[in-house]
Amino acid sequence: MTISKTLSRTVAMTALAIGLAWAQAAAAETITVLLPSFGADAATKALTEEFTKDTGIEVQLQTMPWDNIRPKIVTSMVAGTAPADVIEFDWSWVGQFGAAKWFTPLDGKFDQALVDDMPTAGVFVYDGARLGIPYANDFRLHSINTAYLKQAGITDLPKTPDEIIRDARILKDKKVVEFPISIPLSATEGAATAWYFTTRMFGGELFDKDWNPLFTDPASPGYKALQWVVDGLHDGLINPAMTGMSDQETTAAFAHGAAAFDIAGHPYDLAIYQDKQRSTIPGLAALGLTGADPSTLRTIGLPEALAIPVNSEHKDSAVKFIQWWADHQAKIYTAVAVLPTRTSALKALSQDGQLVGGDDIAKYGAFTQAIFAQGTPPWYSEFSSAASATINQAAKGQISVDDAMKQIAARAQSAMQQ
Amino acid sequence: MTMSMTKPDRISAARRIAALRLPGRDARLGLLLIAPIVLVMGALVLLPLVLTAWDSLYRIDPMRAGTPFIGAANYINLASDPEVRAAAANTMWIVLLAVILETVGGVAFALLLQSMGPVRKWLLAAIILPWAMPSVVNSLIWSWMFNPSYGVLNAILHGLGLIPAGYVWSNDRTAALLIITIVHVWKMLPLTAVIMLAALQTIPMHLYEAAKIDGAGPIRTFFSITLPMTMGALAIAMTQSTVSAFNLFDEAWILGGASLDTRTLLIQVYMSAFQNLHMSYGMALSILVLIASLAVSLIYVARRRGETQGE
Repeated sequence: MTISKTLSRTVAMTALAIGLAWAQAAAAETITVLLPSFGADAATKALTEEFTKDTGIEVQLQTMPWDNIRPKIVTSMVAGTAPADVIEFDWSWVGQFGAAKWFTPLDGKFDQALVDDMPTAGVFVYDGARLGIPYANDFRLHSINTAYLKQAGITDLPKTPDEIIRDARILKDKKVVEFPISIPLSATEGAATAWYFTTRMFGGELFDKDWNPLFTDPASPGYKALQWVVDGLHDGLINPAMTGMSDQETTAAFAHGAAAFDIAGHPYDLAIYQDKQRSTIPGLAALGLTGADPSTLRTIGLPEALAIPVNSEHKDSAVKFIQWWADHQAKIYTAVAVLPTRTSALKALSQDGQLVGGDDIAKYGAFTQAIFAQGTPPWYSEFSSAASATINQAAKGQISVDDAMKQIAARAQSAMQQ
Repeated sequence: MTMSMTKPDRISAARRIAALRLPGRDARLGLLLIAPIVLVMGALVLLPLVLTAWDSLYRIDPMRAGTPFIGAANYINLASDPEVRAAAANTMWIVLLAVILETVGGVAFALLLQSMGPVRKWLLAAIILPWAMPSVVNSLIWSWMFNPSYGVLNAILHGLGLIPAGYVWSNDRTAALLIITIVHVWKMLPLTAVIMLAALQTIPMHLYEAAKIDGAGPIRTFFSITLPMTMGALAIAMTQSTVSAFNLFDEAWILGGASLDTRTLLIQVYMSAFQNLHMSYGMALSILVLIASLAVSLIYVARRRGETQGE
């Protein structure tokens, strides 16, 4: 009888323990998070595990190449399912996805102090609603191979687009590098943003406040920017193979000494160039910015945010994830090299000496402005693909710069009317 | 003498009438056996097709409220869209070249395999490999081979003095389309070869023997015996070549991206529907692609049917 009672108690306790564990597992909420692959998936996973430890919320992390995320979002939302509870949300999608009402407004869910600490927060406001919290800082500036400049006897970094051409000619004539300038020219988003950036270099805008194209006049900065690129190709300063290269491929080529100037580089590229595993030029690259008027430098901001689809079933937990990610931006940078969007995080990293090129990033980051002061329009995707495809044609010599500008303007106006 | 039906005649007639109304047991069994595939094809092919055609008459755009009926507006706008016209021109170029190369090459390979004897099975396995490889993998490998900086084909051609160093194929529209077509033909030609080989093996040998006795040479034999006897298979092979060339996406996307030089109709469908979110516009274009590929395919089938009826 005694044995039987002991056995009964043991079975009962075991059943209770199993039941409690099952109940606890059932009670633990799980959210799905979709992020681009930062090239460090294990480190990203470790970060989500820290979030789980802090909050008890489980995370199913999905990473994929950035270019694949948008099609996944579109197909999922059209089918009526959420691609994930928290997803990557690029600045270029704000107009289109905002008009489609695919994302949850986040107004009132985060402290104003947090939002104020993010200079690019306003990019993700559509029709008065905040649709995303920026988590990845990105803007455009030049990457410069200082070793090549030294080899050619060039002592100062160029300050204007004309000085870049001057230095490129010296580098080519002295046979330091065959194609001194690199800039993506394939029919991809990278080519379009490179054109927007060079338009800013020449001191101008793409559209006026009423969305009239400003780049069809040969005297306009946008026109001059494309002419500058086409002339560079014609003079052998830019590799003709750039017509088939995306911005990531351009960065990789620069990291292996293919050029002296990467015109449309990213601030986080310096971390790549310093990495001996991914670069043959560690310690030789610098960041820079030029302008037709060097006293008023400008660049474009291309931030990325975290957002919550309207059909997510775990919105509250998703907000907690976004808050956690915003609170740990400095740690995230050291783990996966995602540049913080919070001014305080950038300053802290720079002061600790952990931000590669921190002083230059802080200096040039201050010149960042939104591409469209009015906000990203719903027709941006059509405009961007028309711009990149046309730039690609002009770079191949298939159409003149004049025809290219008219073609892009016509396509933009057609897209606006739809 | 009056004509009247005997009882057996009445029974036989009744049975014939009954047979017209209801299928016999064998026919019913046949219908039952094909019912699953008919249901699957109906659900996965016919129904989406009908829905797509129907939806193309509406404005379906997630960025705009409502889905109003717009009739043929999408089709009218497609006709004047310069990007669609460019994609259509690229696609027709690829279809024409691909069908010619796959047909001529497929027939040639089939004749070669037919003459190989016991070695045939090994050569057949080797020829089938490109067709078995996924299109994306196939295209990536070719893109590396044609890379201006490190491509092996570029290195060989430059070594032979045929191209300058660092030649960028994609900078010339004709060269870019030619490369995409070659990559597509590389993958699809084996299928034509297999279809034609199967047809060649049904030709009775005594026809060739008779032709030889009559003094016919190989070319005369090919045009008088081989080609007429394999016309049916050739029609099928050319139909599949046409349809697959019209639906070309992977090769053009991997090798040319969204470039207007090499953009095909299916890439344009993808960009309209999934990039620009003009869903019904993309649907209308996909219907037009379907009609165009069917129309071209029907030419081979109708011609073959006409020849059969004339026999």
